[in-house]
Amino acid sequence: MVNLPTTPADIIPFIIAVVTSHTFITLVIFPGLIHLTVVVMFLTWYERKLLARIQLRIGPLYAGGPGGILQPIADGVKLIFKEVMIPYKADKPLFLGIPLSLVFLGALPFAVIPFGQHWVIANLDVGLVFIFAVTSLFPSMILIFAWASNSKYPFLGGLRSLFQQVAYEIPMWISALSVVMLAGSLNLVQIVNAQQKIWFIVPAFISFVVFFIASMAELERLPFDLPEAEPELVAGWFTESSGAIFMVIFLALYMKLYLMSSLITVLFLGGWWGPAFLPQPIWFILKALVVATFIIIPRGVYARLRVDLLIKIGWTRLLILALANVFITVVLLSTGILSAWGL
Amino acid sequence: MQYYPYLLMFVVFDVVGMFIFAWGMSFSIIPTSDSLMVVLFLVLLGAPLGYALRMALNRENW
Repeated sequence: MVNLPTTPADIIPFIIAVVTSHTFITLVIFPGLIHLTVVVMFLTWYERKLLARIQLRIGPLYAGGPGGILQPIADGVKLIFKEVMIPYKADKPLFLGIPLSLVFLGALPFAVIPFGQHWVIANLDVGLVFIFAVTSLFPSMILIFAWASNSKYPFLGGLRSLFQQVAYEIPMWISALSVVMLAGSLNLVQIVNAQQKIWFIVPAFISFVVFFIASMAELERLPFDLPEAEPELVAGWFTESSGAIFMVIFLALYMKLYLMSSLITVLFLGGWWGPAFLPQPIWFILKALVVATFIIIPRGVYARLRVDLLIKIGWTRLLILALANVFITVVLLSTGILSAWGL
Repeated sequence: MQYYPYLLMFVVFDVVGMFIFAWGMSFSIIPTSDSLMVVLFLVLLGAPLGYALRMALNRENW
């Protein structure tokens, strides 16, 4: 607790006390805004480099030092100075406001993601439900933005985004249920602590697979990028966005990519646990980047699914598999097979 | 299959999800007999769903 300054001489000590406080560091530096911005910029560069290697190209090369590492900054500067085009008869408040709210929704769940035993902004008891609640708002916001664009391609993309949610959300929740049963908690710190002896990917492997596939649908990543299908819908729900609006939307999308990678790390890959020669947050970030790599790779390899196939896969494959893993977890916990690992 | 049956199933499972998360959280501290009732409920929910989906996939009759 930092006391407010009462005299002018107290102002500088007050600022130092605020800046060095744990709350300020977690909120602004790590795992807060600065960390998020740096990782998101890295992910944009990393995805382009990785896809270039998969497709036998070189990728960004000329901006900055080795491997065009400053390409995200060059892209950002370019987009900021480009003209923002607002479509004729678009709903301006929504068209300009929704992208900002998408960034807010993308950053908000990081408040409950634990990057280490003490590296969490808000240690909520219902952290998992909070993340599901916030991320489930994305498709609705996308549809509102698409409608506000007053253009048919974005609107079709927005409808597809909501359509897609019906396919992946229930399997994703049910697959997370196995983890909740194993940990006996919805608190993400407690879920990670329960994995000190055995990562949940081992007893809940089917859930991990289902959750991973559902995450790719949630992120609108290939082969589930129906709302952005370029050959059919130009660029889908963000066809009409340009300049800084486009940059803000991309920021939100890459934040979401990092969010889902982090969530998979927390639920299935032991969170921050790892050999002691590296600090806990480093293990966490490394695991999340590995997960992000596997989410990115299909973009360079797979073709897009048809719209009706996605919903059939969601309800006839993913949901059944997720329910099957719940029954397996019931058997594992009831018979005490996992008691050797403290579960 | 048309879109609206999926929407109906989505609403059903959305509501069920809230309750089974509460059950999952307390699974290790409640008696097994209580958990068996929830498992039975899930089977009763999942079996007709599986049958309906199988029928719908075999014949586009919805």
